[in-house]
Amino acid sequence: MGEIPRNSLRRWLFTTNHKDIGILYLVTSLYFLVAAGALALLVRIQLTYPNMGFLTASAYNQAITVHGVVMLLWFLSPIAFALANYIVPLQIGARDLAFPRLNAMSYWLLLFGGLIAALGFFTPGGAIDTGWTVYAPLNTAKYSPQPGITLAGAGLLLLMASVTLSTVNFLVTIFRMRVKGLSLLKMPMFTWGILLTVFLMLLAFPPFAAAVLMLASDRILGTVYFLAPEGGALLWTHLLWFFGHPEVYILLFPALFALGDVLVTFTKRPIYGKKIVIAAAIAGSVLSLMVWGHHMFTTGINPVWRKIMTVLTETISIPFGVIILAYILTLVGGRIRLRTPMLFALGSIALFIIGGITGVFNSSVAIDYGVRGTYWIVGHFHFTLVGGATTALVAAIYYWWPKMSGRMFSEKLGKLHFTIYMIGYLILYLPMHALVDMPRRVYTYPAGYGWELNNLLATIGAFIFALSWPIFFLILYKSLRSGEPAGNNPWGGWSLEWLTKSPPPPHNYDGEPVVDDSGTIRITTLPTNGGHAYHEHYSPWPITISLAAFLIFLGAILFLPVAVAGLLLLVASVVGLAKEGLAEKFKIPEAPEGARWPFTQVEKVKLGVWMFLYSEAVLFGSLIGSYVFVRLNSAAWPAPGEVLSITNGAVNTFILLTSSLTAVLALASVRVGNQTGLKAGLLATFILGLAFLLNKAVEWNEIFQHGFTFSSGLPAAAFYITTGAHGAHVAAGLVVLAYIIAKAFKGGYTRENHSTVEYFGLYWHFVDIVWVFLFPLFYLI
Amino acid sequence: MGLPLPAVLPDLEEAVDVRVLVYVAVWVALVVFTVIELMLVGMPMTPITIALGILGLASLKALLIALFYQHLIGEAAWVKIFYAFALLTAVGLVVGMITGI
Amino acid sequence: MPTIAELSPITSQWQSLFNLYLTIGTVTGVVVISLLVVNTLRYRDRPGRQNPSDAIEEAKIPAERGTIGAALLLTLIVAGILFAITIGTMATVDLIEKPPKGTLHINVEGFQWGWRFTYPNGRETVNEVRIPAGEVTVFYVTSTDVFHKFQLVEFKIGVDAIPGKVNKIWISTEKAGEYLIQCYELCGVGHAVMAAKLIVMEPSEFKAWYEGGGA
Repeated sequence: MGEIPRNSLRRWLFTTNHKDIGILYLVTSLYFLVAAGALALLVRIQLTYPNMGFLTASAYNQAITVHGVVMLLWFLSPIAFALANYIVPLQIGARDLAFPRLNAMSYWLLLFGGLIAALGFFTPGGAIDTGWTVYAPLNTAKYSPQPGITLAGAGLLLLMASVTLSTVNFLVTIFRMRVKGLSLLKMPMFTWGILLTVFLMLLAFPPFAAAVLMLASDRILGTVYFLAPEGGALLWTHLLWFFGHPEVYILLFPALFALGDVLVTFTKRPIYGKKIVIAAAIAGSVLSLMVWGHHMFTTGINPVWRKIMTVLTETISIPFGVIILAYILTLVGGRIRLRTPMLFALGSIALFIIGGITGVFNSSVAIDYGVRGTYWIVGHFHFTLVGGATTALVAAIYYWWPKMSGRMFSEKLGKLHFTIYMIGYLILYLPMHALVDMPRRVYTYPAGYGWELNNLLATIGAFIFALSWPIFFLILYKSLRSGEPAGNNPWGGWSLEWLTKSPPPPHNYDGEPVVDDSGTIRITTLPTNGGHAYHEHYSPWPITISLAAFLIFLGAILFLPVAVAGLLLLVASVVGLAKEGLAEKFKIPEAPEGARWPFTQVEKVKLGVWMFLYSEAVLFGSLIGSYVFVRLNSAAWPAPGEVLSITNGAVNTFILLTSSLTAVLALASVRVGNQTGLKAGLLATFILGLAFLLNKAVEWNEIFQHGFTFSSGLPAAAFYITTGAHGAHVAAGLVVLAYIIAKAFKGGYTRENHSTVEYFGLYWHFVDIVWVFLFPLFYLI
Repeated sequence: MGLPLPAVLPDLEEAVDVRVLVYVAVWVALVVFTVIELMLVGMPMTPITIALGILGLASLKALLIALFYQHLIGEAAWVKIFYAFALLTAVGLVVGMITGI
Repeated sequence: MPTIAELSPITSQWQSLFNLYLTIGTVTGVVVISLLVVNTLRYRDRPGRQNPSDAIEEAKIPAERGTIGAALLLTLIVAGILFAITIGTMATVDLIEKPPKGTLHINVEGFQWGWRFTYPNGRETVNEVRIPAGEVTVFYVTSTDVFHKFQLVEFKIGVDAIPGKVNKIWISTEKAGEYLIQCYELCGVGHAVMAAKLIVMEPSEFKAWYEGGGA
């Protein structure tokens, strides 16, 4: 595309620049904050007194559910990614993220995901109303037939696609695009926080994606994963909480580590024990993948397991205790300036301490028998996620605002904001801790249990707290209109983002930043890769592909013809994207001798493919795990050969194994410049892949005729969902392969330049590996 | 590409035939293991033994594909470590689900 | 209202464990937040305060600060506190999960939206359950439709009601009277009103009711 004026609508729709996308994320997440905050106010009004009649039970359930889902997934994470998008490339001295178009697609998928979920409000039965945990089997069509839940599921799937793209993008960016001399340990705290966040996301989201996929299949196709008692409630809770606990740290890390940067700048001293803080956070991340059982203490899971989970959960408090103490030690001996960002930072630490301590209560299986499902829990997680995370993110927005806008804001109003925020906050959330025995998620409660006063206080606090947000927006608006120019480094920070203009030019730095051996950061003006080498670039395909996905889901759930329109748009967009060339125009110049440990030898795209495959491994692990879980839970299961033909499965296995051989032979050929071998290998791979799918289609048709239908039971549910997901991966591989074949026949791959063939192989062999397990699991055992 | 080739596999110029031989040998092994899997079905052993045997062979096949077709054998150490960590996460989830029943 | 200690052994044990956590938690919280506040005030920028010797500078990677020994000390302090409370948890959880012998067993089924109770003699009641004072009662809790949580509100104890699974929870109380049973897991539009009465009767009255078969 040609040059697009910077103040046009087209710029915002088609931009792929990380700073523009950061601003899109910021505006969108603040919009979702206001919407979900308004829902919370409705909830608080309803709970002011016992037996209020302001909301119906159904409206109340919708309000709390949408409030929870949106605050967690469409506000907290996106606002962290707003800052990450804007600040991380600046902090490591990169020109942009590694894959700018994928980054734009992440944003649009998130937005369209939010829209499709919100559409539920306008359908019969209303929006999703199951609580954000969406417990099974309440989430199945039998108990909740309204389309609102299916729409929310579709929204979640789009969000997960967005998250997967973002995680791959940020991992590759942070690992591969740091400027020369900026080792991992020298990176600013915030970038560290994002690195840990996306790594956790990569591993924690796939089980949830698997669960939502299974739920969507249950609701749309009629499979019975969550309806059958052998799967049902426990299967959902396992998958949900395996995601759910790391999710807490996914929401927390960007905020907690942004605090690190704010503390350093406003105390003028380095972080106390930066390595210790990072090591503690890594330990906490690893532990967070092993503690999901503490959300299931009262479900009657294995008692030994409950005790192990108690100990592990209490252990996880250790690293976070250490981080907080290190932050407090950071203050010692400093020269502390209590400016607005610092006030919010200190406030956030204090509130997080309280939330962390109440969390230790909940780690105890004994206490959990009493507090599970009560307002105590509501108080606890609002202290961590609002008090800890949101307050810190407000600090971070104040801190980087002058960089993003180029203007300062009113210190006086900032302090007023802080005061009202804290007063409202404490009146709102402290009383919830006194409601240790009041059930949560009830739209009404009886008088006479001592719950009246604390509910009234919380509602009053909610309105004071709500008032602090318009003040915040007013401060930002006034700053944009008439704030003092900020200059490059208004707070006196050390890190790279403060060395360029505010706001930075599209290419970020007029020159090449480097960190020399003495730790000094210089912006060299070497002509090698001069600042202006990177031009702005726009692409319409991220938004059209996301829109297409939106339409396809909408059609599948509500009105089929819409899906056809979506499919056509998708095809057109993918062709358009392919025509743009997969990497040529959007190549972000890398610093000539950038710091790339530990992936010095792994090319950018290849690293991205590997990172993607890691998340795919966890996705298929979750699907296979669900199958094993229901199988071991079921009294009866068809014997090998009873439903599925072993011969058929074996034939498909040989087909897929052979297709891996032809794929790798194609690569071997192009490596020595043998074009014929390349084309033959690719074509053979394509034909074998197609044969695999055709054979599957015949097989599905046959077993369907014999009564093994989607809804015929758990064996069918497990088989169709797991092998269906695998088949979809084969099909997606064939689409990419078609592009590669077309390029190969135009002579697009040479002895020197054939990396796409290699990276496609990585994916194709991975899909083969999955089948290597699916075949015995479904056909032979 | 400009990347150093995996040290374990011989340099490509003169050794392309060796490479192809390795690929084909791996394929033969994959086919043979699959045939053994098929032969294990219906053997006079306990279902658990059969299942473990078959899954063991499947793991071996997966390892062969990863090492030689995905060229993991000559890949940077951290690519392998992260791969292992992702697999461990998945296995941890499955084990946790099964033992928690 | 009876005091917590009079209600049931598991309730009093639960409450004392909660109080233990509350005491240790409050002390820890007060100490740590005081450290935060005191250090903030003490090292505030005032006229005449000098930059620290390792002050950060623009365009300069900050120096390293802190020692491994200090980290270990911090870890040990946090771990020590946690160790103390974990022991308390382990003792309580065994009491909750292992009911004493000689008990009345009642099957509980949660449904949208109410509770059905079945006694050993086949007697069924809905949204009301009567038990004798001074005896151990064990509830075997399940669900016929969705996920519920069977919570004995005043007793501060409860367990999930899950289709296809039976979980148990026990109480024993000396105090006759009426108590609240409530669903504590969102289960649909009737969740807030999914309540039942727990009526604790003098043993002789209970016997008469149980064997009489009347209402």
